[in-house]
Amino acid sequence: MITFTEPLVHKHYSGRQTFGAGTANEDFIDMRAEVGLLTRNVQFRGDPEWSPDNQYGAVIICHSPGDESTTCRIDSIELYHVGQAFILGSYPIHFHMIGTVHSSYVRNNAIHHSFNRAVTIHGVHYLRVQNNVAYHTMGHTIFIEDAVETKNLIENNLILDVRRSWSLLNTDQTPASIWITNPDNIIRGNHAGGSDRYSYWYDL
Amino acid sequence: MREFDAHYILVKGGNMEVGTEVDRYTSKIVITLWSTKYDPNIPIFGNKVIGVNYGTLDMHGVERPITWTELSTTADVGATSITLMPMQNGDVLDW
Repeated sequence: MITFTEPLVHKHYSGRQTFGAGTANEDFIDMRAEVGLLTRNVQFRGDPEWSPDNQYGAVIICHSPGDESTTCRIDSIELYHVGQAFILGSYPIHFHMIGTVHSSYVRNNAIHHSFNRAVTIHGVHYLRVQNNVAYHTMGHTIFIEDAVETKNLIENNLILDVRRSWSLLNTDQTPASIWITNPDNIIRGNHAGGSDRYSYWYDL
Repeated sequence: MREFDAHYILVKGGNMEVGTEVDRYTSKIVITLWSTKYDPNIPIFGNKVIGVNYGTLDMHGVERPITWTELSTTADVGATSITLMPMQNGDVLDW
């Protein structure tokens, strides 16, 4: 049980919806509000003076050309006031044009209050993005950029409260929680809710 | 609590570690990057950035049993607590 000092302002539903009760086709869907953990003992953030007022946060960019030439293992940290609005390429976590990244992963992190996406997968293969919580982000939030990307694994992430962005690409004005440009990637077990427009957008 | 402050960090052919896979960082640390849009930029990486170029970045905080779950019962307006789904092994989730 989790307790609060301030009482809840809204109702948060949890229940099971049953369809075709008593028939051979009876089935159900769990309609339970998700609860994500945003804090971690390691916090990476943009400074409090400039970041929120100017939508200009901190970012992590992993880039060098060549298979396995750069490794980023980002696990169980909190990213807060991250991403740089109006700056194409400056996302909280950005894998950029490396090639295969078998030993890299992004997992168990909390990425919240981002001004430019959460995780961008650009020109890489075999990246693992698992068990992350992304909350209150702007633009397509987990983003497979170019359609050359293959064999990446996007699994069991929670993506909530995606906001539209007028400071990114045109399609970010109708954002998706997960933007997918190549079907040869594994997308499974994710929950995407509360987006301004879309959850999963296959742009093929 | 430790604090680490920088304008930017460029890892060029080296390693940056905040904990490792086998030895996680267990105390509290806040890493803050300070720059404005108008400060000097590194080509490709920009500023206010941890840039990793031909290098390795390891950041490993304390691992939580799970990072998100669902409500087990509806939480009404005015509630001061919520109950979460039990974990797969039946244990109560303790964040």
